[in-house]
Amino acid sequence: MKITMKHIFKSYDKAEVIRDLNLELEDQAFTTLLGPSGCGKTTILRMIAGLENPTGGEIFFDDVCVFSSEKKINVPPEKRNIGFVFQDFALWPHLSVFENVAFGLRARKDTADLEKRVMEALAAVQLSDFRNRYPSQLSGGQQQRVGFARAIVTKPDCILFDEPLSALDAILRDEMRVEIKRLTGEMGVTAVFVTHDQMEAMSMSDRIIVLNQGLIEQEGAPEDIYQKPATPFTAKFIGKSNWLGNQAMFRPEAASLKKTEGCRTYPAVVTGVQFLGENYQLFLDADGKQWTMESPEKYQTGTNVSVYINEDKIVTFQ
Amino acid sequence: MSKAINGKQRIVYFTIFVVLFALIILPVVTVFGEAVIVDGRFDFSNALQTIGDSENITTITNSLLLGFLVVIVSTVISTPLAFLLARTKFARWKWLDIVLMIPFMTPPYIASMGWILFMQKRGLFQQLFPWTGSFSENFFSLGGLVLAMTFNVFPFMTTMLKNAILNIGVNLEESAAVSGAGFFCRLRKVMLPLLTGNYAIAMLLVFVKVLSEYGTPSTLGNRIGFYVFTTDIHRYASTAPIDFGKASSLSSVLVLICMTMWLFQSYITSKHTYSLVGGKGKKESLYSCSRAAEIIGGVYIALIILVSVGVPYFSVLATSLIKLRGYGLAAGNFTFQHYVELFTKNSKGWEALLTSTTLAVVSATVASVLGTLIVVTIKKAGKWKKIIEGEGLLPEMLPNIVLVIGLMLFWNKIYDILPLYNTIGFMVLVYVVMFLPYTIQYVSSAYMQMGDSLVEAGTICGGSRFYVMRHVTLPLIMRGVMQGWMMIFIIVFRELVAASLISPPNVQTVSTFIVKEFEQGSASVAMAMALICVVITATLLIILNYAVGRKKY
Ligand SMILES: Nc1ncnc2c1ncn2[C@@H]1O[C@H](COP(=O)(O)OP(=O)(O)OP(=O)(O)O)[C@@H](O)[C@H]1O
Ligand SMILES: [Mg+2]
Repeated sequence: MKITMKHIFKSYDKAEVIRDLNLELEDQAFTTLLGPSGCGKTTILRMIAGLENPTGGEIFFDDVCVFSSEKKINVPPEKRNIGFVFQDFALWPHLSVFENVAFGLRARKDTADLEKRVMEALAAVQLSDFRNRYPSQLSGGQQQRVGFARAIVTKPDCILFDEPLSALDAILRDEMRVEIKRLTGEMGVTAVFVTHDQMEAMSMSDRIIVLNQGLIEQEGAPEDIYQKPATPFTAKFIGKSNWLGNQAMFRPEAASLKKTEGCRTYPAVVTGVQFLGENYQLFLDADGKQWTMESPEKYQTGTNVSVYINEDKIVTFQ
Repeated sequence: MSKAINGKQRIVYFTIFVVLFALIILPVVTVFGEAVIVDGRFDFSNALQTIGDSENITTITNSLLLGFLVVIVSTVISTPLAFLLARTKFARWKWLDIVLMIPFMTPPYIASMGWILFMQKRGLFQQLFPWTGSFSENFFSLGGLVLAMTFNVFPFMTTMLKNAILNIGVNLEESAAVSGAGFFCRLRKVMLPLLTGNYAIAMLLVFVKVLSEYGTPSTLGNRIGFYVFTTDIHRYASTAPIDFGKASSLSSVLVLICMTMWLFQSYITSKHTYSLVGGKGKKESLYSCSRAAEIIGGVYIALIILVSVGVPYFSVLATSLIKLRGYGLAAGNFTFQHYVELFTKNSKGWEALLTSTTLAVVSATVASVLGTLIVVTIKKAGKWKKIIEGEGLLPEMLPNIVLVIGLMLFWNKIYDILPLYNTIGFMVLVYVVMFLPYTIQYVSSAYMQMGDSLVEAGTICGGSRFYVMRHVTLPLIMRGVMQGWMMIFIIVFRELVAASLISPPNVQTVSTFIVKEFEQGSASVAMAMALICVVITATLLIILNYAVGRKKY
């Protein structure tokens, strides 16, 4: 299912949070909304879900209009057939794992093969053995999986994730990333994933939409966004950026301390070294600008070095 | 879901507003009206005359004096107790918290009757300690009244202070200790300044409670000729020559005083905003005490419990079992005959129990349903929510007797339209209005804990509003609803003020039965009933705690 938002405005009381947002989320793709805290990511998701009404604009699921301020259309959340995975899991504490997952089917009176379908969803998240537990008897990661099973059991056209991994520890987060990606891929649903963690965004997404203060800064494949940031904001927000003045930057990998043909050369002083395992991370001072790069060799602080930067990899902004 | 409030919702909110206005605000307004409107015109002279009347001046000064003294004595008793329960090893004895709630849960009129039976001439005290002569009769004085009331309300203050102390993380004290402050210096420089606001709030609330209290003044106060607001209002409203004008004038003054105190209280609460709720500061933290200090503390706690729980309950129990009071506490002078008499002599005892049970069940159920509906409906009501909540919670701030007077006057006036006055139905109505705040508070707090996302998750999963309400919201707030229901049941079951003012002719409740039997000299029968009443309510509380504790979430 393709989701289209046209000229969406949203304000709370007086404060305008989103203004004139146009957004297309492609069918069956894994799209991530990435942006700093407070930029309106949650608000956008909640408007897609119908939990929040835009002040103005239209939202389409494929060709069906689910919200339009002009035509006074507003399909309520329970009729939109979407899945939503909440940041705080939002499991119902009074229902067992099985009943939590079965809720959507029962609510829709779609109870044919209920047992089988619920168990399938639980099996997909590897929680078959936990069907009779209550949420309070599960670990954070298990709760998150129940939340996920609950979102997929009704076979929605689209699943919305609001920072689903932020309450988990680093190892669990990695595991869940892979699993979420795999399952949404297998199901062929449109997935919209909200995060402010750029690593998460880059590792999971088919497409990333970078947001800033309610506006789209840039959208594209993760590689494009990383290698060809369209604005200084994107360049700074995603990955490490080294600046050559205000309007030109390069990524750490574009630089080398070995003499290379066709490269620009800059003198710099090493101001700090960190051992990363495979490489050393160097902190450089290039005529007052602070850079960082990786190098296979260790340098002493205070060493004067020449930095060679691949001309093609320098990004300039006008 | 912050949808703009639409027309239909507005109508619903407005309807709730109007209903509560009629049930709560209008009766209160009627009280003031009755005080100052004479023959259809504003006339403050009557009200002023009533208030200026030397007898009433005495009443007012009596009330204020009593409130003041009880506040002082409660503070003196509660301060060491709160520290002992918060910062010494007694903090680990959780059952102490429950025992200390007993006096607070005991109907004041029953406790006072216990005290009277204990201290009176040839009472239990003199039988136990004959060598003290007539010493115990000194209890029948202002001092005794203050003590009886203090032993009833002090747990309230102790609990508030204890929680306040627990809220002050021990790290604040430890940092003071590291900076070289000794125990008393810490007490003076750290604890007391941080507790000032809590003290002020607790004292004001105790003061309001004492002014609004009817049970103890009506049993003990009337006996010693010490009249206060509530007893005078009650007398004007119930004993010939009935004078609602005077009752209303006094009620108005009482309300004004109480409201001022409440305002003052909320002002302090808002000013007193030390942010002490840092997550990490709250580990259990006890002073290390010397053995001697611990023993003194233990003795103190034991003494308080002995006096506040032991004396009244011993007295009630003993009296209910004594065969002939002339022979006192002697072997062979014990019998269950009064319990038997209660149910066999005539049908009055049974009927009273039945009436009170019915009243309690019906009132608690109606108030719970109504309160829950209101809370659930106004959840997203913006400014309407504030207004409606304010209305619904108002009865809690008013002395019960004033509320009853207001409802009596109001429903008397509209008797031609709605002839409810003087029926059991009217009693239910009064109790519903009086205890609606309980439901609203319990349910609101359950609702707050629930958070929005659980309901949102329900709608996303395809549940209609009604389905989500039934399968998510209601089960989750049910515990709050049940707690409210049980509290209302317990309190209505033995409520005295309303019962004594508005029971229809020939209808007795447990409380009016007890008071009547007591006044007519059948103290043993009265105490047998009192004990049954306490046992029933205590059993219910235990069941409730068990049921609530068993839930997995
Ligand atoms: N119910 C509300 N009432 C008023 N303002 C709100 C409300 N919800 C969100 N906002 C405001 O809207 C803006 C966007 O909020 P939103 O929750 O969408 O941010 P976000 O991008 O999800 O941030 P985060 O990464 O911190 O979750 C914020 O400035 C927030 O203060
Ligand atoms: Mg968010």
